[in-house]
Amino acid sequence: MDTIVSKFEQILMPIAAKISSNKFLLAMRDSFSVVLPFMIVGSFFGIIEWVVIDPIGTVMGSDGLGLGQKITGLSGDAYLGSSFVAVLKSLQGLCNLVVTIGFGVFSLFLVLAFSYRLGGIWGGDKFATALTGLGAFLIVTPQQIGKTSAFSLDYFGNKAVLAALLVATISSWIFANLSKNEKIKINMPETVPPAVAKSFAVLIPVFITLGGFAVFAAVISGYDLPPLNDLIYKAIQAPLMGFSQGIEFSLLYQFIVWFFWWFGIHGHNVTAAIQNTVYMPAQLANQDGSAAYIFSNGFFEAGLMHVMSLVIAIFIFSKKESWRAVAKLGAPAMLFNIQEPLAFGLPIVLNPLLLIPYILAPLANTIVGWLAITAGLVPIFRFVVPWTMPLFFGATIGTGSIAGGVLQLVWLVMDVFIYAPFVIASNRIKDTEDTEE
Amino acid sequence: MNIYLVCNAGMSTSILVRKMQEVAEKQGLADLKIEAFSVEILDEKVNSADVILIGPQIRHMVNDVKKVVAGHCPVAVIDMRDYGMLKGQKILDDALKLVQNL
Repeated sequence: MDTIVSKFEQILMPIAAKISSNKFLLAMRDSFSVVLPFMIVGSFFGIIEWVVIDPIGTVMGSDGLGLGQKITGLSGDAYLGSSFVAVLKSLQGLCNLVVTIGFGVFSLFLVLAFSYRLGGIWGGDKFATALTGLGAFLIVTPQQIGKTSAFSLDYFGNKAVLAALLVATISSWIFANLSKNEKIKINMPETVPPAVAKSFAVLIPVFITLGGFAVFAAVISGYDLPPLNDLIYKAIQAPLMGFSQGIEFSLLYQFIVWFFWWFGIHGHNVTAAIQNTVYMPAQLANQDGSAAYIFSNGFFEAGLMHVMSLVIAIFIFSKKESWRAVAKLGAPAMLFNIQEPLAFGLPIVLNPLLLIPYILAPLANTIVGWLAITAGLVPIFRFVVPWTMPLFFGATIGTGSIAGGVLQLVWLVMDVFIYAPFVIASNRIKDTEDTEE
Repeated sequence: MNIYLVCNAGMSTSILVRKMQEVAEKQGLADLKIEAFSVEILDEKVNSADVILIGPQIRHMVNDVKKVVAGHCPVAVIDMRDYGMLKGQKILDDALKLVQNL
């Protein structure tokens, strides 16, 4: 067993190192995490808008808690026509302003953040690269709705994620490389203030980059093709999304994540590219209501809690003092889905006994969650919640329904059953480290 | 002295930081600053670091971290078991040793 394990480790470590040290992927991951707080705030307002103060929603509506009718004493059309409902509706409108920032213009934020980081790694002025990326993105976006000059929000949301990444990559690369080229730099006499000289220095790179994108956009429209955003969405993003929504791919994704973790390598770090290009856009589409994807960031983050089942299994079944001690130590962190003290303390990492349940539990969760959502028992994961949100609350808020929280409780119990036999088996294995200490 | 701990998001290392701070306070090491953050912002912090400790879950990134640090201060991966057991005392001692051995 040891030699197989160390062989695997020899294979996995370089792979993990290569993926995580890839500057491009790192910049991408980083730019998503810069935008994330805006999504969470947007979700917060989304929950208020669609769950709490929606006149016919979970809290106010007659299908839910019916609070609206209790407050007004009205029902049916009288309720819907009341001034109370009118106030709620105008408050909903206010909330929606922030919701739009949270995910309606996600791709705009992404273009800026990603170009900024790419400027950093490719040696362009960061702010200038970010603005050039934004400019390029807006150039390939249709600038007219009917006869009015206007941008449509359709091109700034979840469907434009991949377009945003591609345009940012190409424009930043061109811009950064051009601005490093001394030959095309406009040099100012030394008497000119540095800030002014700087703005002239990027003049030609900006001209060529934006001009190039304009020519490109003109060629596309010249051939009567749809705008670039639509092209990329239809040709790449949509098929990718369809593929990644399959239960097979989702199970494979979870297997890879937890297999890496068993080796003590941050599985989510290694697979961040998959998460960002398919499960994040799925989450965004769920959020703005344009689609209903089962497998999204929120879905998988809700499943992080399975290690809590191991803690419970240890408290119930383990006779090992060392395990009980680590479980006690790690439980508070695990309450917030931070599993490292347990992973490295028990350890779960490289522990042959725990390999099977540690991978089986998240896979079982994925299947059960998939079935529950497909059967309509649990709504899709719509709202973005920080991944450290404790179980039950995490999925309740994430789905906007108690059913989500119940799903996590079902997972919790099921995973205790998955971990229990292995915890019981460990009672019979003598802990060598205990005698050493 | 600044001891920096880095991991993926700086979440789990921040638990360890609290343990290490408790130990440092007990030993009266007042000028010791221990901080945890994400590996992503290491480049902004590296200049003020005296020693950098890496969470074992991102030990595959040790070479990247070393590249960013560029010999400016010692870099070490925290032992897995020490990390899991949150052994603040031992990890702090090891870190101080690393600095003294310079």
